[in-house]
Amino acid sequence: MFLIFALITLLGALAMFRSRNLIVAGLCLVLCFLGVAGLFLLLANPVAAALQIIVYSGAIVVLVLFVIMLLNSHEEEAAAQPHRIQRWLGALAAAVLGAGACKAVLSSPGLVRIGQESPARVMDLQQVGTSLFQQHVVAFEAAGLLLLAAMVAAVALVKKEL
Amino acid sequence: MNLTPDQVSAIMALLIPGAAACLLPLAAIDKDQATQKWIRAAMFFIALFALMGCFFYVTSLWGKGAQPSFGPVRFDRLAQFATIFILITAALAVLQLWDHLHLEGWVKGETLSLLMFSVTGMILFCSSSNLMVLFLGLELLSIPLYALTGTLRQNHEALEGGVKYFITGAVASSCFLMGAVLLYGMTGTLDAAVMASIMPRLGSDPVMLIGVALLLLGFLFKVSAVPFHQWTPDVYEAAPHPISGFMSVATKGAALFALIRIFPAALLRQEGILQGKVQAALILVAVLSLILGNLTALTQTNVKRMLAYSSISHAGYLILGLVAGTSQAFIGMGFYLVSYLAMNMGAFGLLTALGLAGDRTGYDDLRGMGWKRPELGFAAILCMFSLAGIPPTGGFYGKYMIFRELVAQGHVSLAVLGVLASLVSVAYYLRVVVALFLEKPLGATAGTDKPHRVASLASGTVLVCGLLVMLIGIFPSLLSSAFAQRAVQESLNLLK
Repeated sequence: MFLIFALITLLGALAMFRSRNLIVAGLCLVLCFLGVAGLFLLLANPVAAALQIIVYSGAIVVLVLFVIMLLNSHEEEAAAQPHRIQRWLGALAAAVLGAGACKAVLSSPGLVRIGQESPARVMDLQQVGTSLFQQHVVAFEAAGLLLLAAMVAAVALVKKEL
Repeated sequence: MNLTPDQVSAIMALLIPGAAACLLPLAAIDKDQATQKWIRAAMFFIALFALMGCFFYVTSLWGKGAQPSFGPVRFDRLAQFATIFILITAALAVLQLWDHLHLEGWVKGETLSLLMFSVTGMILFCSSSNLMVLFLGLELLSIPLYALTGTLRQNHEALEGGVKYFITGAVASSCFLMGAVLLYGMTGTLDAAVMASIMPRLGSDPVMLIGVALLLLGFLFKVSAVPFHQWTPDVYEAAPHPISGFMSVATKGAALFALIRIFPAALLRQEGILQGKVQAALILVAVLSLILGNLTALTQTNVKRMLAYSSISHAGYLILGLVAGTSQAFIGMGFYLVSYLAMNMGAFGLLTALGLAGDRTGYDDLRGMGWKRPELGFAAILCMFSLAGIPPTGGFYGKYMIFRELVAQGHVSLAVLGVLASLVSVAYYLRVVVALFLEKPLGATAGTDKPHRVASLASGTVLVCGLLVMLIGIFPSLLSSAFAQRAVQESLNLLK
């Protein structure tokens, strides 16, 4: 199960990178998000999985696709000069980082210990609510302020007649 | 939930700048702000009033010696010291913005609102050891700064700088988040103080090391230390002068105060492999920052770019304080940051006060200005001497306190490198002084001198900064023992 969802996520992300058409890329992003939602389900957290599908693959990606369609520029612009060396260096760096991450995860004793512990309890909506509004209330409020700040910033940067 | 009066004060200190940030866009909706001076004045007044209100609550807490905490927020002495530091920087920036934005002809309330959001984020960032709150604070302080960089959007460089800052900053923030997530996964807690007690059991787990490294990267990006410094010159050049000053002083200060809070508790006290690795990384970063920052600053022709590279090198000196890692060194860092506030806000304010808006910020534009405005010239000399670390100014004592601790901890070669670096820095800081006083203005610029408005508020802030630099230099023990020492020692005892 885990392998299937992980592969969906990874392939979605890779396809998003490779596709030249922005709308296809957006749809690949939906695939990637669906894979992540599956991973959340495996982690015994159906609330997060539902939110991932409703908010991310539903609302946000649809919004992004709308904006892309409105802007009417589906194709990625070709670069002024092809950066071949940078491309290869980037791919090499990504490969090295990926290999390093795999090696670190495989050789970590702490992760093995976590894997042997008993599986986590199922997280339901009530638990999410209580932990959100009791334990993490400051973070919750700060996140609200952060969203407002981002909105003000966006308006200040793009509004025609400020 | 029952709150004690102290907790209420702490909450108010966080709430007031946030509330002002929400109010200011409402005031800025008014279309008359371009024509009516009183509306613009009211917006600036709201911002200053909010900063003063917050200042009142924090100083009352400091006066009582109360160190309240609620939830993940610990409003202890260190947080109060950091908050006062940020508030003073923001107040100076607001005063300078009034003049700068009028010079540029782009006075908008949104700018102030974003500044207030950033202040709220910084206070949150400095007053918590919970990694999630820290991340939200980091984002709340940096997202407004991305927009503030591009606030003068009629010129393309400003937008370019803003986009550069946004992309690099987003990468750094996501690294910070990834590091926090890895550490949370390994230890099962978000609180760095609790994390510190679990970490020794994990030994040298590679995943934990990666987490710590990514977390450190997030902090060092905000400090603009060397491998993560590329954004600094472009962004400082693109942003309005007061915002550049605010970014260089308050962001660096907030990140370093947060580092002082997190790292001694979480990392430096640990024996064994983790301490050695973190310290080695910090030494490498500090050495690179000192060398690269100072040498690149020598070759600049633009004062703002020079100040940007100099801020990189100052990040190097400050990280040397972390390398020493004793409470005396942290006191030195607090002291150094306060004098850095005065001298750097003075240096950036000087450009506004002399009416050098837009991209007229080369050394050539400064020529002969010192004789036109001698009082500003004198304050600028003080600030530059202090930046270069020449006694008896504030900058000298800050460096002295950090280097003394380095020698005491056995890092003699690092201290020698720091002294050599500050000797090199004298060259480029004195170039500003030479341009101000010893060079004649170029004929062409003198002819096209437009009748610029007298930037009285900005001039006032520069004079205050010059005075502050001198006072810190003459009475160093007052600041270090009365404020910095109590901030560091009482808070770190609390964390133990």
